[in-house]
Amino acid sequence: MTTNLLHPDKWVDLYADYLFNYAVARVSDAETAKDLVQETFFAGLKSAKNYKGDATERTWLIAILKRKVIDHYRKINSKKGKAEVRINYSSNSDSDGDWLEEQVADPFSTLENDFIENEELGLAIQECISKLPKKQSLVFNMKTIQGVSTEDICKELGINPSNLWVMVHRARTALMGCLNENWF
Amino acid sequence: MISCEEAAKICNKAQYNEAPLLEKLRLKLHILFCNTCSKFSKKNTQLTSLCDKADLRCLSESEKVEMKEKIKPEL
Repeated sequence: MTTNLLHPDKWVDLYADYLFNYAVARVSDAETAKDLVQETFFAGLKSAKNYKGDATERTWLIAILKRKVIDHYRKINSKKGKAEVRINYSSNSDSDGDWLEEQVADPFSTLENDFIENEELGLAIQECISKLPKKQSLVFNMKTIQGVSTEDICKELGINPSNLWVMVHRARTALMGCLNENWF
Repeated sequence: MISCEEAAKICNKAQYNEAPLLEKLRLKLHILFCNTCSKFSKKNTQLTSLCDKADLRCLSESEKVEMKEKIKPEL
């Protein structure tokens, strides 16, 4: 097996969105998530010499980001003082009852599975997007994720609409191929 | 009858609700006779719903440039 090498100059283009999606699902605040991604890159650069090349670059960065997310929660917890343990029956009512039994998760609920599955799907899509040529991923992101209008994208990138649709077509075709095995 | 290339273009536009009604009808007609485009259209629509379901987020280009600038001195 060939050992992996780090290419920090490409990190932002290749992994920023992937890491951002991962972070946003955990801290549910875009600004904080962005900061965590930035910190991850700093930490990655600092400890680049410790990278052994066993894991891929992305896996390695995700591992750092995980630590950053945990640190983030430690920090906000210590700001508030001690972590608070609620022993009320329910935070939004005064009623009492057999609370443990009534508060357990519904065993038939599939909501949390949906959440996990959707996050995996999101990361799978991001991974595929990062394999696209730079221009295509840029157009696809703006159009599909940020929802920028065709007109505005053309103006910003200095292209004409038929250029844009050609790039969208190529990006979408590539994504269909990339996602094919697992998700269709 | 429109070409497959044209059909694909309309199909892509339709994913972003940017295809006019008349074009969509042309696409529908094309799909009736063209197996390849029918498959493409189905998958393309699926891709759209997958993207919706995944609730994708991304950083804007300017945010990425800012990030690059910040890590540059450390490179």
